Amino acid sequence: MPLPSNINAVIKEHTDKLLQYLDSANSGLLEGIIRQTQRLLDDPNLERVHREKLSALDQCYTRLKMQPEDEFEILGAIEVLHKNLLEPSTTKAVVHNSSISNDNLELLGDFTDEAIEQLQLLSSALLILDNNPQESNMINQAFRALHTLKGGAGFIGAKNIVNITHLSESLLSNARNGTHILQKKHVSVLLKISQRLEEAVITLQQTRQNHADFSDLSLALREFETIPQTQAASSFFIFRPHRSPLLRESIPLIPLFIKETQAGLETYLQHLLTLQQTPYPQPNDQSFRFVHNLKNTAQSFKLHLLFHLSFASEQSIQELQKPQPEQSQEYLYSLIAIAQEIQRALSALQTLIQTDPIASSTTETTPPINSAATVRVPIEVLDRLMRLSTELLIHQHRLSEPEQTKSKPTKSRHVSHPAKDINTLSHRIQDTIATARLQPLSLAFRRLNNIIRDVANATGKNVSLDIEGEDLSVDKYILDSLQSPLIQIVRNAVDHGIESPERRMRIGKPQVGKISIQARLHGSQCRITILDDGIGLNRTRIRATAMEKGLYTEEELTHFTDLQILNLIFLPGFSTRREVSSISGRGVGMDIVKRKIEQLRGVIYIESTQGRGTRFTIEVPLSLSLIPALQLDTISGPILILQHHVQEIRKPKPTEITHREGRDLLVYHSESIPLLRLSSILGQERPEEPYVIICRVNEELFGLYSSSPGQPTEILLEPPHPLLKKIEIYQGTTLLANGCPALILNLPLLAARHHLLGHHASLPTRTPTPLHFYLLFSVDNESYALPLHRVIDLERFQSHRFSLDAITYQKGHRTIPIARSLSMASKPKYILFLKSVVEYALPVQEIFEIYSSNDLPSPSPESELLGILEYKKRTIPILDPIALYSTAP
Amino acid sequence: MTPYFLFQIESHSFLIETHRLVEILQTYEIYDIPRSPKHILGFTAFRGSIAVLINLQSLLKVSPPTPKSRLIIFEYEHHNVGIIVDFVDMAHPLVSASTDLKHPLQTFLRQSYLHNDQIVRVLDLDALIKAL
Repeated sequence: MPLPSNINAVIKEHTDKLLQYLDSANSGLLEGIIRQTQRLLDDPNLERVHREKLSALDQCYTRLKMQPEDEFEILGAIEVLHKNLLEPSTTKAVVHNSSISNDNLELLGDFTDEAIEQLQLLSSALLILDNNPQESNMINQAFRALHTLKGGAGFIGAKNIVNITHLSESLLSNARNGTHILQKKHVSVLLKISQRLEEAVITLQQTRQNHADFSDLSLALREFETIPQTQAASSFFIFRPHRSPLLRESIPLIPLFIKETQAGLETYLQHLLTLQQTPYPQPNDQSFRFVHNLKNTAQSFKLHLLFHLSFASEQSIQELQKPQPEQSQEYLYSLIAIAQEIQRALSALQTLIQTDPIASSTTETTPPINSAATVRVPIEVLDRLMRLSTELLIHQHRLSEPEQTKSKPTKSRHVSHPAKDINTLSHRIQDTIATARLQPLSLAFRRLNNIIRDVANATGKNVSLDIEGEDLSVDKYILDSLQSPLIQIVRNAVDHGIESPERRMRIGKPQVGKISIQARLHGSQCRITILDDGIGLNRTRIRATAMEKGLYTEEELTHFTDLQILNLIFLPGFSTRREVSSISGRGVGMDIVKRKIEQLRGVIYIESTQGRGTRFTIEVPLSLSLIPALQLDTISGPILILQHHVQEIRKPKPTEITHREGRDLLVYHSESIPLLRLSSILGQERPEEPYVIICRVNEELFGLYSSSPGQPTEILLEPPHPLLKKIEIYQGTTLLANGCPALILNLPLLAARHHLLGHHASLPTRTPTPLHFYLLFSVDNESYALPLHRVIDLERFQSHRFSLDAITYQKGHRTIPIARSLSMASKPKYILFLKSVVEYALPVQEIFEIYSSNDLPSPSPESELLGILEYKKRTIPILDPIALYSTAP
Repeated sequence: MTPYFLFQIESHSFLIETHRLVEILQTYEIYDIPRSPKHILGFTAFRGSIAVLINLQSLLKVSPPTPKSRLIIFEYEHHNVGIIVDFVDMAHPLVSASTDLKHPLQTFLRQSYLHNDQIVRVLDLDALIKAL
């Protein structure tokens, strides 16, 4: 008899029969398994590797029959052997599927691009079905997505993807034709399949290797088709971390869990042994806490055997803690026996985890940045690039062509210089490429729904997620890099922040916790806020942890501002969590989040109100291409600061500068802000520094003395050179337009180093600074507003600069596209130049005011508006520069 | 055998794997990096990016480079690193050799070879950059 091709089915059958045997103690079931195993072993064609593993299994089955008292230990060994036996078939499948043949490589890119689109459709349909499994439109959408995916996978020979999509499709097909009622549990498995498919496709895209193993999910799907008793036989001893994405992510934590549990178990067992001498043994509270924590952690890791053992121990300890309990010695002996079983189970788990490819790989849970990622580019963008590059070649040719051979135009009003044209074209090519790299944030936000759902389920919490601004687009690299920090923050928010439904009810909060994610443009930055309405950060505990870990003394912490206390959570290994859960609590996470955001040249800061919630604000550039900066001249050459930090440039009067505690302060809008000297920062001799650059970092203001008012410029920011990383005052380097290299000052670090962040807590209360400035203008007598920081220039409208087709405007030597969403009947008087992703122009009639307000505008239901402004008892719509830009040609 | 090229700074000769070499420049402009340690000479523009220059002269405690010196650019983790040297040449032929002589950069030197009757050693550029 040949070894069945589907070894999974054999092992599943054995597992089910073992479970039934445990429930019923029907020895016939065990006999059946033994007979089947021996028949397989009788096969002369059986490969040696299978034979060895099946022999070991056979011995275990026989031992289980002969020594039922060693049941736990033997079951642990069987579990390991089951997994080992699955390995060759899995490996075989991997070998079979791992390499995409050369013929199929050309199709791979198309497949992965399309697969990602289809998986987005699938995921969005499943999320709706999760709430309403009978929604027929969504069943159809999910079915179609899976069907398309299956077809594409077939083309590239990815049989594992074909199989799992086929099974999933069958489930939905049955639901479509009414032979099967789709339920929440089915959707739950389909959601896991969707996530695993996405991971498989991304791996394919990055490595061209197809290593995905869906056998566990196939089994889960097949379970829906089999008899109910299979469902009833709950998984008692099988460790199935691969069945949950959450658990798969937790696998790297298991070795640490084993180590810590073994250490605790030793103390626990010692304590129990000493109790043998006492007539009424009463285990101490520490023992109860140990088994209680073990029970919770085992449950969250789905380690059923450990869960049951610790649960039984917990019950026994509770019995023993009663006054003068009956049969106390029996309880104690059983506790000791169970503790020894826990020890064996941990050893079995250790063996299992050592053979697990995920656990034995890196402990870094965040995926590496995919530098080889692809971006889908619309064909018209490529056409535009092609036209621009052709034009560039023509101008280059004009430069190299000898003057006398040039053909002269018969009529020409204006002869441009090729160098100017090349400059214009270079800018347009750069803008077009920057646009092509943009991807909507929805791609990063989409996964958060699943993460929140999984963590909420694992922790028994109810959480809803609101997302706003997901249409905002950022550079593909930024998008990819934001993924893991966002996951970490929302995971923490659910696990640490949101309270349990019972507790929320008790303290008068809605039972369902809320996480809101909002993305907005903030200058040339993308600002993402993640707000939860949970318990908030506990300052007392943060202080205590900082002292416990020896980071700061009590005396030092008394000088810390509230913000500085909160920022302690970004230190490596800092966790206030007393108990480590499967999800969080080990203090590895927030420092990585901060580091990743800083790698993107972004900032992250926290606000938290105890009992009311926590808000994380992340600011990252929209694009890593040209970004505005201010060039300051110094003795050693130009130094740059990023424009989004610059609030204002001033030449203050001496009376506006005061001194306190050895620090210069500038009176600015009725408040005192601290001043730093650029020359001191750079270690240079102090020149005359009459100017102050007012900078904003993390909503805090400070000034920078400078010898020059600075020159606005645009730079291509490069990450810090490895040799410059130790000189932390620089955020990166760039090449200026004149070809000189220049350094970019790291203002967030300087502000933190000089303790400027949160300074206002010890300074006079600041009167609110107007934060929102708007330019008010009219088009055809209708009033509109635009955020002032988006308007980079304006001039009187000159009709001869308009192109004949009225789609571009000539600004100096540059051709700027025109936004046409505001059609004008009357002739424009002014033209505004706006910066969105690229520069574009907006002709307007009148400009009547620059208006400032402390208040946020009222929201507008219209997507192309940022909000509504109240101005002199009138309401004025605030236009969204991104929406306006999308209408520019 | 791995192909090497040889460079000299005063009396010190070193070998570096040829594949690490990006370019040898005869003209260049060096810009200061304020607050940089003394073993960083400065930085220069190179192929649309920058190259940071190691001050090997200061590590070897020899005279600063002269205008006649050349700048060799290496690749390190997708970044450019430069060293100003007095002389560059192909290192051929090389014969394995051993030496007990101590050197100011002993920690960063690997195999020894005999080249034109002189002992030359391979400079471990990665180890040197990591240590700086």
